Amino acid sequence: MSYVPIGPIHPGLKEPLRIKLKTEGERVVDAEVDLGYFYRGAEQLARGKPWQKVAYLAERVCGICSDAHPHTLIEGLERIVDCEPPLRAQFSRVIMGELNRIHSHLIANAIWFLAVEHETLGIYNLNTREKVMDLLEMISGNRVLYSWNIVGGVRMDFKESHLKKILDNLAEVESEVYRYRKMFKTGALLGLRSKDIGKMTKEEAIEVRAVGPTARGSGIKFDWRTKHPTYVDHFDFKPIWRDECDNYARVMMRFDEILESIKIVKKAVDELPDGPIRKECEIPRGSVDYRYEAPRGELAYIFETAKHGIIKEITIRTPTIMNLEACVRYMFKDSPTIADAIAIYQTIDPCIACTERVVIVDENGNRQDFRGVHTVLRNLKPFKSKKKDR
Amino acid sequence: MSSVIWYLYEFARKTWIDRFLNAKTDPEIAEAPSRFRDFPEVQKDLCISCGACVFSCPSQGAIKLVRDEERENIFPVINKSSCIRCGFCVEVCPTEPKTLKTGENYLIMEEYRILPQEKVYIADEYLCIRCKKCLEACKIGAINFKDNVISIDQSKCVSCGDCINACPVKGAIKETYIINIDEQKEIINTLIKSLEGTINLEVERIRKLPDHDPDKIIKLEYPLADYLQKARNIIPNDEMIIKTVEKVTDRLKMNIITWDDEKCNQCRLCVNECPTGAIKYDEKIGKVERDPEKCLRCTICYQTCPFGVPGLYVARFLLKNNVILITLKPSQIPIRG
Amino acid sequence: MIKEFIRKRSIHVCLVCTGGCNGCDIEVAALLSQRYDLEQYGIYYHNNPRESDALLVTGTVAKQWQEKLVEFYNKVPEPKAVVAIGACALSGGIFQQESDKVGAPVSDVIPVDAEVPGCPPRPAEIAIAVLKYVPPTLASYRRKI
Ligand code: SF4
Repeated sequence: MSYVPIGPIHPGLKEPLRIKLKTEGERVVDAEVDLGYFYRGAEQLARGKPWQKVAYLAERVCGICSDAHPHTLIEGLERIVDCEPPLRAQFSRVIMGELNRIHSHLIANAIWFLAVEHETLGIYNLNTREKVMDLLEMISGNRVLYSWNIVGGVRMDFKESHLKKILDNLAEVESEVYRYRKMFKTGALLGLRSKDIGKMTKEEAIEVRAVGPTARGSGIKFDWRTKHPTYVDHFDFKPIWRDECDNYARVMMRFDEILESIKIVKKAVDELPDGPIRKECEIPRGSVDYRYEAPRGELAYIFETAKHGIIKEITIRTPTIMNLEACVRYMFKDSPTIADAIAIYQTIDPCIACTERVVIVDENGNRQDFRGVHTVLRNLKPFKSKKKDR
Repeated sequence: MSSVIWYLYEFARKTWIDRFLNAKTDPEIAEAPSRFRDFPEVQKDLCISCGACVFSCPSQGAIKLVRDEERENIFPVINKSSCIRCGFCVEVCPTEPKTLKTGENYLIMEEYRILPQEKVYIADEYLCIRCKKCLEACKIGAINFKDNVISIDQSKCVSCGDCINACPVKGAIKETYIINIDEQKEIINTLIKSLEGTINLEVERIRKLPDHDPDKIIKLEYPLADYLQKARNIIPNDEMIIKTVEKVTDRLKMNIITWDDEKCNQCRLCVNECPTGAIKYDEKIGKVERDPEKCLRCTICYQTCPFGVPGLYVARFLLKNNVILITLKPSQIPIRG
Repeated sequence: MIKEFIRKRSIHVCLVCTGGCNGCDIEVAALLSQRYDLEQYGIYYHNNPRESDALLVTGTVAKQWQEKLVEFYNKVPEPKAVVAIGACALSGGIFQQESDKVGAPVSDVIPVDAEVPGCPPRPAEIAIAVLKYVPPTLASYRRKI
């Protein structure tokens, strides 16, 4: 029995964290994860700040799903006032959110391919991602941090030329993703590195509460987008899932989700309604618990505001914290080699910048819960879906 | 063989050898699109030095107001190393055309100003003398005069404080911090506790003041230095502390109740009247006792007692040069019965 | 002599993220794609400090990093260069607010040779900075005695 420490800086890892593997020969029997290299205290900074500044801070909780964080915060704030943004703004948010998802999934797969040393596909994926990044930069003005959402709508409007470019670029991305998907499906060596490795059954996934593509790769058919009012009303969205439960399923899942996202964006661009893109909203005192499907899974923002939209208390629950536990508890078990352990770790699409949250524990080891939660859960009111009303 | 080489050479020369020799990166990758939010540019002449940009910046120290000696105006300077290129300062800039510029965006939604506020300015209808000096002082037209009432448009206000400086009446425009409410409460509580402490030290002197003689007053002083140290631990913002203290001292009126045991005849009238049970009759000693911790200062005992055991004094405060001046006077409330 | 000539043309870099938002890191990763193709300029992206010539440091220096970063810097063979990327590394950016959680800027912890401002900088800006500042720094590097 021996220990293999990996990280914090390691050629196989893109973000600093330390994984300690307990091995028997090459076989991994146990693992331990050591976090804390990324802690910045975003929640502490957010307390007592007006929401306008907190939106910028939320964006910088994670740079890869940087649309999902402000998206969740701001839709949560809108739930407090019950202020529904205009339809054009809702569609713009969908377009931006899906483009963000495409780029996030592409980089996740690229990094997995680099982790299994299939550099060709890795670099191809990165290159395809540049096309999406171009779109994001052209629309919002920054490649990574978009500052796109705002209470009551979105900041900027699309131009005609933008919509045309979106369709053009996405058509290219689509054909390329089909090609990569085929290469991944038929590649014999890739099959060896991915099939039947990093198994996590459905029951195990439910037990550790895995979320997002990791859970859907294990046969859980759940996606928060099926509960999002815009998706329910205007896009008949069905969650994608696979039941292989291994690395292959998770990587394939991402390719499939990219294709589905492209479909959604195309539909949104075609049906983009005319009208204003923003509405006046004043944020009163209140509290809310709002969840949204970030590229990596369920993202929850639970917060309380004071008058004038000042954030009093905020709790952020990010998806990777659940998936990391799933990875350490079940996926690492019986991974045949140490090289595979790194590959398994990359399939959950870890984002350590998201994960570094803090939990307050008192002396007796009891977790101190956020004060607002109980009132919040009662107040939880999504906008009513128009379809169900009829 | 040689023909093959010749053929290859021909093929190479014609098609790709030139391109291979002059390989260059595609220039488009270094060019930013027209919406790209670069570091903001500053047009010094347009600035009205309202400070909205400094105030709105999510990253501290990225933008500073600097005085230009030659032109005698103040304009923002951007520190590139902490600027996060969010473009929020451009969005909130109230001048027309904008002092700060970045990309082609952020000029689209002129009608929504979303400046986050730390302070709120409110005009007081009763104290206002309608001199309209603030109307002139406000450079962005956030103050309206309608139906003989001055009102401040909160959605336009950038919290620059020019109206307060122009206003000739103290308190006609009120400035309130809306952030850190809990800390402000704590500051006020500590202030009141320490003021009480200072007054309690002087109880003996106060008791000797003859009742109902309005000219007799006691003056005390409370220097702020110690208190400031304590308050800085709660929130390290001197301006906010001083503003809060000033507001509190302007309004605060404290009732001080003294207790003169010698005059008491154990009639126990006050024991039943006291709403909190702060006054109790102790059977063993045969004495009426008052617990100052529980006292609400409702002055009922003062009004009930036929012998004048409780004394009532009123303290008022004024902040001047970092010293709180305390003035103690006997109360004017008449004794019942 | 030959060493110096070669070193100018082939730079091995190591990326260290010390706790930002990942934005700068993915922009460095984007440099690997064919679009930017870092390797055509002779820069090889390598996450191993012992084999690298230049450290690319991103992010606010989180608590755990404050000592480790110095250790790290000592592991890089001489001559070495450090490029600080992003607002976080230069000043703490949005996270540098009355909080003691971060130890930014990076230049407080290790000597920094080049700075790339922006949040995040565009990949082209990073590549230009690395190409412009790293070779001269390596050439004029003096061994500390
Ligand atoms: S500088 Fe900006 S983009 Fe880079 S890590 Fe910091 S917050 Fe993220």
